[in-house]
Parts: sequence; structure tokens; C-alpha cells
Amino acid sequence: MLVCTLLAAAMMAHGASILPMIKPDRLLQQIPPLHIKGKVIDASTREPLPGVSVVIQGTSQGSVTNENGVFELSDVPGDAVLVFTFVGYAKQIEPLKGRSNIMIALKPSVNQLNEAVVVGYGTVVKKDLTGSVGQVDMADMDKAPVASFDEALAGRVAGVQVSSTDGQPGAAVNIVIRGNNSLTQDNSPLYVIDGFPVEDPDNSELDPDNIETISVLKDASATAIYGARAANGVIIITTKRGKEGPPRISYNGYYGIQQVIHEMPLMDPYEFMKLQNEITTPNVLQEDGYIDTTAGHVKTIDDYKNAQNIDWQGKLFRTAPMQNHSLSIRGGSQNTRYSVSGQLFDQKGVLINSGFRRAQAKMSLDQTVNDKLRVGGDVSYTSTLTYGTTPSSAENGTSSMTNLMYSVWGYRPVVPLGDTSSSLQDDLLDDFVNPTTDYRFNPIKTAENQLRKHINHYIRINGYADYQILKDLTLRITGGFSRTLKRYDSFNNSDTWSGSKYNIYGVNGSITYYETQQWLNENTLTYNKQINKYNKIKILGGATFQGNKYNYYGASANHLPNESLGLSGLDEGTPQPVKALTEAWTLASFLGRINYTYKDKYLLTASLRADGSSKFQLDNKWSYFPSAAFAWRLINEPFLKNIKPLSDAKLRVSWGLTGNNRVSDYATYAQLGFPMTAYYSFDDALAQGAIPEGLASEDLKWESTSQTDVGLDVGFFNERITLTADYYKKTTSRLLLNAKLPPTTGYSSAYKNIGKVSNEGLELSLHTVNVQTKKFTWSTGFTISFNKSKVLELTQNQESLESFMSWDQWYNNTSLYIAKLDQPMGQVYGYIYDGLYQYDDFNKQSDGSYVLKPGEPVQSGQKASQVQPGDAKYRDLNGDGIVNDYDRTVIGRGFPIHQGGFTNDFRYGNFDLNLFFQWSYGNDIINANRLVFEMGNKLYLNQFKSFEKRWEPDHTNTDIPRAGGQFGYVYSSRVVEDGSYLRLKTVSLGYKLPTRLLKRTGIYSCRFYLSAQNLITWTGYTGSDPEVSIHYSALTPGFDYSAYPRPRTMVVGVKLSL
Amino acid sequence: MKRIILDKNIKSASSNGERTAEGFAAPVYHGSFGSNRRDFIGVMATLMIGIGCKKFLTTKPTDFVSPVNYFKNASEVNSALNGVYNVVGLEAMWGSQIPIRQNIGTDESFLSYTKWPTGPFFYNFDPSDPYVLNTWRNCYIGIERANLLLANLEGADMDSSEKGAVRGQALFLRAFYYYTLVQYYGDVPLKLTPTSSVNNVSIASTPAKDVYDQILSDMEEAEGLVQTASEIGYGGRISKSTVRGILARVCLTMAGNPLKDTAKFQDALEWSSKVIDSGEHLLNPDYTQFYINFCQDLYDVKDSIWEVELYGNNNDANRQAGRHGNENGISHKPSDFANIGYAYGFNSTTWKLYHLFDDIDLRRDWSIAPFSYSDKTSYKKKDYSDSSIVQRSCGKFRREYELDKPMNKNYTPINFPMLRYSDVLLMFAEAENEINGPSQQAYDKINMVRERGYGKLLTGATNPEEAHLRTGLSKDDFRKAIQDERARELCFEGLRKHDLIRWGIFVDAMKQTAEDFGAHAPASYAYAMTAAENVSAKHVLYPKPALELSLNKALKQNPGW
Repeated sequence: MLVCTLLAAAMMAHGASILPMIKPDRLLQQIPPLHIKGKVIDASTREPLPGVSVVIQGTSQGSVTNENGVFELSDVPGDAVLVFTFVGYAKQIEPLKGRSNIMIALKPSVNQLNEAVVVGYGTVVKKDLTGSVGQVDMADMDKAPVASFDEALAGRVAGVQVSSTDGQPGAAVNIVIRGNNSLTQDNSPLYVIDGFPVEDPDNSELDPDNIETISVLKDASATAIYGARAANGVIIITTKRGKEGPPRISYNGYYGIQQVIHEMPLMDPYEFMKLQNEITTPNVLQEDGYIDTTAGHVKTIDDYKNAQNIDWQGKLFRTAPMQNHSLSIRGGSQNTRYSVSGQLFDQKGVLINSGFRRAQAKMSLDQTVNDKLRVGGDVSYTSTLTYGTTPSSAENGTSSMTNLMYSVWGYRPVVPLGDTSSSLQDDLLDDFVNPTTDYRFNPIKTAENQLRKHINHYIRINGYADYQILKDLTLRITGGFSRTLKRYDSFNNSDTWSGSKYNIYGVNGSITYYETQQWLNENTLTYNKQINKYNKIKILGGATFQGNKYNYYGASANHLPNESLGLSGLDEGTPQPVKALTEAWTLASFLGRINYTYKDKYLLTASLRADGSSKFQLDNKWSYFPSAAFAWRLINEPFLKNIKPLSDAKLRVSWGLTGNNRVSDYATYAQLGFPMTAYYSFDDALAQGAIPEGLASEDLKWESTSQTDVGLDVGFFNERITLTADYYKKTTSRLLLNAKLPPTTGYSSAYKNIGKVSNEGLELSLHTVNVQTKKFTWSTGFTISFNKSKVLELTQNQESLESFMSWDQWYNNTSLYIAKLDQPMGQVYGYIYDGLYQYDDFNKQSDGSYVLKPGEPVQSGQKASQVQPGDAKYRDLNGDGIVNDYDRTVIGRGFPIHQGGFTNDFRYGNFDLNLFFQWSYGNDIINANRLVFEMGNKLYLNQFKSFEKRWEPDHTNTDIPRAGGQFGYVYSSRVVEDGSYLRLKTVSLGYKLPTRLLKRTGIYSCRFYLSAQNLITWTGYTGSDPEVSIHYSALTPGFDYSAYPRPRTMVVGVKLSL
Repeated sequence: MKRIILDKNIKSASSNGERTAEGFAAPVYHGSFGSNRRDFIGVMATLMIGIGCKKFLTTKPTDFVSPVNYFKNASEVNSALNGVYNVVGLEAMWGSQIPIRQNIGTDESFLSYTKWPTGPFFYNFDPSDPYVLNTWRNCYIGIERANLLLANLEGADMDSSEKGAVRGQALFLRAFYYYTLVQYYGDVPLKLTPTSSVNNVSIASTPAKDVYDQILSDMEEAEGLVQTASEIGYGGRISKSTVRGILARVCLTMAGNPLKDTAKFQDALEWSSKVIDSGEHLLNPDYTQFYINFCQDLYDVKDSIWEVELYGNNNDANRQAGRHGNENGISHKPSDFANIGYAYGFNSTTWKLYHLFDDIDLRRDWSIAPFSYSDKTSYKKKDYSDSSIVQRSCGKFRREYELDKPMNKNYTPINFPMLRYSDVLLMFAEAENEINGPSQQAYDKINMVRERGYGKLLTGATNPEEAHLRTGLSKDDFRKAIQDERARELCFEGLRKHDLIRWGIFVDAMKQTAEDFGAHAPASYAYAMTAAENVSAKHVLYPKPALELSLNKALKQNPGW
């Protein structure tokens, strides 16, 4: 296949070369060549600017300023025009006019309209953009001390919704652009990393310090060039490469600490004992030694007021160090540019024995071979290690009692007074708890002994060749290869819940290898022509090919006889089912795009991509993704010329189709399987069964999203104030839905093109430079985005799709979310909590007991006689006297009404300060922790401090049920909380050593800084952190149970360049 | 090669952006250049890419087999058959839940676990109940597997009698799954071919009577194809006796409620006679040994004609163990559960069942354990007081006889009876009574069962007549006697509920059970009384599962639900 392509490309190149070459016009030399010398300074600070690129317009001849801002050029035509460019400064064009000594003052750019923006298969000058493309301010984002860029992305770009699982180092961060399109399939955007499209990257693979730009393509005009995989938006990431200039060695390092933001307040020993006294009889407490009423040894509940508290959270959490060291050397001549960088990042988790580590090395080389040919490439290798217990996942997969935080919060906070021999803190189990019905396990032992290791290796190799066939026509051929090898180790020794003698598995472990290999070949031709004064055209055409292979292999065993051998003793245990899988897909694409500009006023972009995917059959393999956009630069219209403050005004309209092919690679094939669960034994001997496991969805097609976007860009006062507003509406139809099938088919689900979803939203970004003086500048950025999703159609005329949260076996069969027709996805579903049954609801009997008044609702399965004052009460919506399935309703929204960010940059002399706020408003969180820790139904299970306010006979003015006052296992609005928050996310204070001081040291620049992450949070959410979404999916957002607490990070660092 | 056409045509086709024969759009760039020659080269290049693309974009699955090229020989066909059998042994089916949880709430037994306030065992459930769904789902999974095998069997290269035996087993199992469906849900969709498409999946119900006709015809065909019990030699595989015995059961069901096709009593009599007359079957003289055999994977096809075979204890990679002896065992919560069998004792006796036995009926204290195990490290027994009746749980499956070590807390290799010879004898007696009244034949069969139950078949036993049923009963009294005898003999084996339904006495029996709880059980058993009180006429059927109804628009809900 590759041969075909290269052949085709070569033929085209050949075809071109047959034509007579058009030589570029040579300027007539009227003035003799000069030797010129000049200096470049900053227009506001008047400091010399080193590293500024100086090029003679129309040639490749040029130079770079030295540390004093000085440059020299010889053999320059006297009428030459010099072009000065430098990152962060406005490009300046200076006709020489015969001068041999010049002084140039570059103006720092505020929001450059001429800045190049990375888009699909090329770059576009910002003012010429017709689509909606958001850019991350990397200078700002770099200030956040985080392991991975996605942890700092929230609130930076309007329209990008970020929800992270919890605070675990290396935990998944879910990024969704302009709302979820797909109900059951992956909604994450397509990533293009240095030109390589990746559907599901590990963002923790990338060193944030090594990222040069992040562009977010949002509307269809921008994304359609990526066709079949672009419906969820595209994030283009480019990493740093060598730049022309002297070799520059840079070091960025920081060291800091992380601390848990918010520990859950728990009951103290006295309150705990008071609760036990309520739950059980004095006999039990006496037997267990908690109270002693025998003569002479009087010990009562009251005595626990001063008892020593066992702080399990304190024992588990730690102040954890975090450090980062990035070292790079970059530089180059006019023809050769290089870059070598390395990074070490080490983040210990705030939970003992957990953390994340990354080591990375990267090299890039760009070589200009001759006037026509440029080649280059890069190689990177990254390895990451994520380790430690994951509190958010249930150890046995089904019971919430096996999540780590269950034991942390629930473990007994106090031993019987006077019991000096209690070994509660050292034992694996709490003696007072029956291990066969309650899975509490010493959490410190769990965290110390569970081995959980994700070891990942990433290799990426990219190469390219740019060949300038004609002055205006360039051929670009790129090739890339990536290999990801992941290994997951798990080992449970006898000091862990699963490996202990209290469980059935014995010492156990598993090793699994996952390998992905991808290759890519892209061939594009770009024709870029200024036809005449008014007409400019740019045409891109290309063919790309990509292939992917994925496989995994894994083995596990129980009852390992020699636990000291660790995982290498796996072969000695009782073998468990072996995992093995191989998969592959290929994609071939043809793409084209035309950009046409008339008078710098009317801009037109049209693109078309054809994608062919191996995931579909026959006629459905190929699909076409067109887009068109029109932009009108109003600013260049005469009628706006006189409005002085206005510096930019552009109206954009775009429409396009994009696709999604994220189904399993072989969804169109029927499958016959041989699973371990499909055996049968005859005569006490096992016989393997062959069973149909999947129905062929032969007609499967692409999912298609059409999107319309209307945008406005305006700038005032020479771009000191800029505003971008976008309204979009997208409709996804032919949804690739893992659709449920009626059980009569014999199958549970199959991929079908069924269902329809729409998303509609508004995005605003405002950037202002509030103060700009020589000494002091203050600029702010503000983004806000609103998105509203709507389910328009479901499987087989289904009116709603209910989703279950799998966190506890008693709750698993009750749906928690619902997607109803014409309503948003991810709505929370359950009973309306109606407070408590109070004394008024009962008739007091002569024997002192309380009998519920007739007509008061009871729950399904509950006898009226069982209901007592202080019990939880739910609203009987249909008034039939029984609270059951028919009384469930929407009790919350999983997705926010709006999200955004607010950043402030201050610079005073050499000091700089960045304050970044981020928020989410209007989303609800299901705080399932309260279903367990505001329950009071289990002996010796400690509860949240909030449970002290429970209903008690002398404390009835509350809405927290009495101990054990919840019947059955139901979700209600009681535990649905407002998850809105405002967070001072990043604070960074820096001091840059003055250039004067550094002159003699050989140091080019040096900045010291203090940075903090997650410093202050304002929220009404009562859980540990509102930025939480356990088991996140488009249908199940905002769930919290046993989350890894989010840390607050503070670091000191230095950024040094030689 | 049709693609090589005139230059001109290609040009117009590609510049219109139409699909070429290979189905991709011509790249848009090439039309923008001037010369014809370059166009030609561009098109040629595109075509070459196109030819390659078709192959390039085909990735054959490397991870699984396609049903299209399976079922080629005996070994593949037998693997597919094993998959059809597999459903019988699932935990949600006879591996545990059908007998232990779903059929437990009757006049002979109840589920003594209070943590679930809802579920079919408490007669407090709705169409979205997981048990309602799973029974339905698993039956249709089994049916789909059988349909796929039956549709592909003909082409297999194998011995024709062996092929016939496979066909017979697949037909029988499919019919058995339909029999289960029709008993639980009434009219159900009847599918006799594999599902062919992910679309058009709505299927209407077939009237129960027609489903029964299909069951009879499939089972009758199977009867001529499968091997005899003696040829097979163990209880897990479908034998002629199994087919005949189950046919007798099906016919009795048809003769009773709701079809009331009383002509089927004659068929029931004939099918049960065929089992009896085959000479292959005999009661195991020792009632307790009969059950110990299940715990130890010993086979006695003379008496245990068909049993669901469970294997291992899920400590190993194979997940083929069940929960017999665990959920329906004698309550025991040892800490050392790797060596001492852990059991929940969820299946408990009603006051009625206990009192159906007389004091010398050995079956009573075996079926209803008069003790629980109290010790955490051994099988030490602690007797119940004489007044504690409903506290007692099923004692038929005792983990102390289990051999596989280390044990699993929750999963056991204990097999479970699907068809017993004593059941066949009682079915014979029942059918005979309905047709000819309480004849000597009928008395003989019931007395055979009773003699064994009273230990009168053991060597050295005396006075066999002590076990005999009172003579001179009227037809109605004999019917009543059969009903009671079936409870005594077959209690806790998942048959009672559908027996009561076909006799048309289910709702009344549950009313009486509720009263019994009120009169004879401690207050803490109020939930069990509530469960029995909940029973109403609609409970003779499950509702159709909500999931099926929401996806299969051709289906109608059962009356009352």
C-alpha cells in the first residue's frame, strides 16, 4: 500500500517537474550591497532583545540577534526589506532604504492577529481564520505545577469541558469539546500530536514543559479536514523543536509538596460511642469492653469524651513531595535546527504508597537540504509508572465495602477505654466485625501491601520531507510510527483483603500486557498563491493512510504458595482465565481544502475529506465529510474605518459534517466464542462450549455530526481588548450506539446506527490588557461556555435510556441516571426526598409505640408497621400510597450549565504574578458516600460528622434520618448535591533576574517562581472535592464514592536558560 | 478492470467528485491544475491507490471464529452442543437461582433472607425485576445457541447416528427452555431459527398452546434420537429416559392449569410408563445416599435420571460451580471456610411441610435439617428446639460431604436433580388416578416412593407396610395424597410452585401459608407472612420483562402486570 502511495506521489512530482521551472524573480540590484549592523530592543522596556530572527524579505538569508540584541548582516542589497520576528512580539517589516546602521524597537504583541495558528494540515494566520479554533495560552498554562497538561486545561479554552475522575496521580481526565455526541461510545476528541492522529492517547505521556502549542479545533469547518474521527473535536498538540539561534540550554525544575485539600470530618470517639449505644444493646458494648457497669469499674459512654481518637485518615494521608526536572538544548543554524530534551517527573501521591513517575527523552532535527527540500524528524521515548491502590474501584468489583475509603472512614476510631492491649491498628481485621459479611480491612495494610503498577512505554518516531515543486506548490510527505507497551501488575499478598486468609482467593496476582502499534503516512500538496492584489488562494490536497494493531495478553493465578516470590511466583498458583486479544484497523483518506481570500475582507474555506475504514463493510466503508465557512472581516469595510477604537471585527459562519467510527474493530462480524463461562461438565469432566457471542451488524455506518457555528471576533484599542463569541448547534445522527437488543434475540446488544443527539451552546472568550506601562502590566482572560444537550432519538423507539452505576451490589440494579427524549443526557434519576417521618405522622399507642397514620406513603416492600419516627421519607408522586418505581423522577443534572476560567497576569518590573480561577456551575453530584456514612446501620462502622445531626427523639428538627432509618437501597435527592464550585486553580509568582545582573554570568535568563495548584475552593459540596466523577461516561457524570482526595500543590522552582 | 475507461470519462467522473467503482472520492486537488497530461497521471495514481485500498481496508478478525465457517465436524458440533447445555448450569438458572430463589416461595418453603425487600421470592416485584429478566434472557440465549446449532448441523462431516444424537439433545434442550418460558411467562415469542439481523427484532408472542405443541413435537423427535440412560451412564446428558420423563411432566402441565387439556393425562401416563418399563430405573434404597451422591459427583442414573452437572468450586479458572449446598445448605458460618463448608441456609421449611411428615418418615429430618452447624471450625451440630420449625432449613445438600478442597465460600461442585425416578413414579400415579382412579397401579407407584422414604428398602428393614398410603382413598383424596407426597419427596427441588399452579391451588395454598406463618411462626418471620400474603392471581405468571417490552414493540404484557 505504501508503495502505491509513494509511487503516486512520485508520479505527481514527476508530472510537475516536466513543466519548465519558473525561476523566482530576482530583484534588480540598483544599490551596491551593504554590510549592516543593528540592534533590536523591546519597545516598552527598552531592554535589548536577544534571539530575534532577522531575515531579508524574499530570501532565506538572515541572522539572529546576540545577547545584546545586536545583529550583523553582510552583502545586503541597499533596497532590501528586513523582517524581524520574535515570539511574543509583533512582526516588524523594515525597508533598509540604504541605511547601514539601524535600531529597531519591537512591540510586545498583545493578541496578535498575524500570529500563526496551528490548524489541521497547516497553519493559518489568526486574522484569516474562518473556523472556530481555540488556543491554549501555553505561557500561562505552563505555570501550573501538574503532571499532565489535561489537569490544567479546564477553563482555559471556551467550549472545552474537562471532568476529572478524582485526585489520583495519573487518574483519567475526560475532555469533551462542545458536549457529548455519543451516548454509549467514547466522546473524547481526536488528538493530533505532532501531526500524528491518535484516538485515545495517554495525556500523561506528554511533558507539559515540552508542549509548544495546543490548538482546539471546535467547529466543523476546522475539524472536517479530519473527517471520520473529528466529530468530537480535535486537539492539535505540537511539541517544541529547535529554533534558529545559538544553542540554548534550558532547565526548568521545581520541587514542592502536596496536601489533601479536605479530609472528611468524622465522628469523634464520644459521638461514635453514642451511636453504637443507639444501634446495639448495652450487653454487646459491655461484652466488647466498651462500657463496664459492674460495681467498681464503672465506665460509661460519657467517658469517651476525652478518649484518644485513632485518626485513620491522618495515618493514610501524607504530605507528598512532587518534583520535576526538564533539561533541553535547542538551537540551530539557518539550515539545521535541533533539539534534545529530557525530563524526569516524580509525584508521590498524598495517599501512602501511591504516585506517578515519568521519564522522557526526545530529539528532533530539521534540515534544509537545498532551496527546494527540507527534511526532518523526531524521536521520543517516554516511560511512566503509576502505582498504588485505586480507592475509586471496588476491590472485588461488586461491593462498596471493598473500596479503600470505606475502611478509612469506617474503621473504629476508638478502642475500649483502658484496653492497652488492643492491636486494632496492627491487625488486618477489626475483631468486632464479621469478615464474611463486612469487608472492612485495615486500610493502612491495604495501602501498604497492595501492589498495583501500571508501567507504560511509548515510542514515537516521525519524519517528514517538504519539497517545493514550484514557487507556490509544496509537497509534504510524512511518515510516523508509534508503539505503546503497557503492563499492568497486580499482586495481593497475605496482608491484603483479597490475599488474606479471610478471603477465598489466597495470595494472588496478575500480569497483563497491552500493546498498540500504529503507523501513518500522509502526503499533501499545498498550493499557495497571491493571484493579484485582491485575490489570494491556498489549496491543499492529500492522501493519508493509517494502520493500527492492538493486542493484549494476560495471566492471573490464585493461591500462590510462596508469597515472598511476588509476581514471579505466579506460575506456582492455581491458574485463572487467561486473557488474549488481537485487533487491527486501517484507515485510508483523501482530503482537500481551499482557502480563498478576497481583498482581505471576504474569506472562504471549503474542505472535503473522504475516509475509508476497515471497521465497516462494502459500501459503508467510505464516507465523505464536507465543510464550508465564510468569514467577513468587517474591520476592512469602509463603514467601520472611522470607528477608531475598533481594531478588529470579523464575522464567521460555518457548517460541516464530521464523523465518528469508534466502534469495536469487528462489530460487523458475527462472533463465535469459547469463554471459560460457557463450559459444561459431563461425567464430572469439563467440556468446552462454543457459543455465539455477537451478532453481525453488517450495515454499520459512520456516525455523522453536522454542526453550524456562528462566531464573532472583535478587538478594540489595537487589540488590547478582544472578544470572541461563538454560537453552535450540532446534531449527531445515525448514532453508533451499543444498542440493547430484545433478549429474545439471544444477544444483549449490538452496534447499530440508531439514535440522535443534539448539542447547542454559546462560548465567550474575553481578553483585556488592563494596564500596560513600562513598569506594570495587567492583563486578564475570561472564558465561559454554555452547553445544552438533548436526546432526540433512542433505540427501537425507546423513550428513555436508564443507566446504572456499578459501585455496590445492593444498588447496582437500581438505575441512577436517565436519558429521556427531548431532555439532556446524564440526568439523575430517583426519589424525591421528603424529609423524615416525624411524630406528627404517627398515632401514639397506649403502649408508647408509634403507628403510622393511614394514608402516609410507605416504600415498596415495607410494612407500615415497620416505619418509625425519624425514618427517611420519599415523595409518593402518583399518590398510590406506595413509593416504588413509578415515583422515580429526575432529581438532578449531571452536566453543568456553564463552566469557565478567569486568569489574571500581572507584571511589575521583574516580578510576575498569575492568578487563574476556574469554575463549574449548575451540575449536581451524587454523593454516594453519604449512603454509607450517614446511615448508622452497621455496628462499629464510623460515620461522617454530619451524621451527628441525625434524628433522635430529642432532636427532631433535622433532615438526616435516624440511625438505620433508611429502608432498602434507593437513590434519592437527599444525596444529590450542588456540585458548583469556583476554584483558585493556579497561582504563580515569579521573579526574573534582571538581564544586567546576568550579563557576566553567561546565564541568558533566570526566573524563580512559587506556584500553587488548587489553592482555594468555594463550593457548597460536602464531599471531599467537587471536581470528581467516578466511573464517568456521557450517561453517568458526577458520581462520587470513595474518591482519591484531590491535593493542593505548592512548589518552588527555577527556569534557567544558558 | 472495468475501471480503465476513457480518459475523458474518468475526468468528468472525478471532477464531479462521484464515487469511482472502488467507492472513494477522487482527490479534489488534481482537477485544479492545467494540463491534461498531469490530470491523466493524477487519475492513474488515484486508481492505483484505489485498487490497493480495497485490500488495504479489509482487516479480517484475528481474535475469534466466525459462525459461518464453524460446525464442520463432530468436535466442533459437540462444542456448540456443550454451549447449549451450558445454560442449564448457569447460576441464574438451575446452577442456583431457579430452584433456590425463584421457585422457593410456596407452601413448602420460603426464602429466609430479609436483606432484599423486593423480588419474586417475596412476591413483591415488577417487570423490571432482574430475576424476571434473567430467566427470560437465559432461556432465549439457550434457544439461540440451539437454533444456531440446528441450522448448521446438517453440513457437518460426522457419523449420522452421532449427528442424530446431537440433534436430539439440541431439540430437547430448546424445547425444555421453551417449556420453562411458557410456564413462567405464558405466551412467548417462538423462534426456531437463529437471529439473522440486528434490525427487525420485534417478535410477537405465540399462544402458549402452540408453544406446547412445538415442545411436544421437538421432544418426541428427540426421544427417537438420543441414547438410553444406560448407554450414557451418567446423569448430565439427555437420555431417552430424560426425554420421556420430561415429556410426562410437560403433559401433566398441559393437562392442568391453564390449558386444561385433560387428554394429556393419557400421554403423561404413557411417557412415564415408558420410563418405568424400560427396566433401566430403580430407586436408590437409601434416601440420604441419593443426595450425598450429588455432593460427591457420584452418578446413579437408575434413580437420578437427569441432573444439572456442576463442576469445581470457582477457585480455578473454570467458572462452572453452582451454589447448591451454599445458599440452600444448612446454615453454617465458619471462619475456616476453605475446609468447612460455608452455607447461608436461605431455604427454609414452612410449618406445613414439616407437619406433612409423620415421625417415622426418614425423609423429614434429612430434607429439613433439625439442626444448624454452630461451630466456626467444625461441623458441630446444634439442634433446634422442638418448637422451632420455620427456623429449619433445607438439609438435602450438605457441604460436609463435599470432597473438593480447598472449598469456596460461596460456590460448590454439588450437582442438582432435574428429573428423578421417584418423580416419574409419582407422575405415573397422578396420571393413572386422573384417568382410572386410585388403581392398584397408582397405589403401587406411590408406595414404592414411600417405602424408600421410610427406609423400607434398606437391607434388614421390616414392616414395609408402615410406609404404605392408606388404602381405599377416593379419587380426590388420592389426588390430595399425591400432592402431599410430591411435597414430601421433592421439596426444595424447585418443582412445587409450578405443581401448585397446574393444580390450580397456588393462590389458595399461599393464603394458607400466610395464615400458618401468623399462627405458628415468631414475629420476626412477619416478612415471610407478608410475602405469602402478597400472592394474587396474577402471580401464576411472571410479567414479561420490562427490557424486552421496551425493545420488542410486538410484545404484550401479561394480564395483571
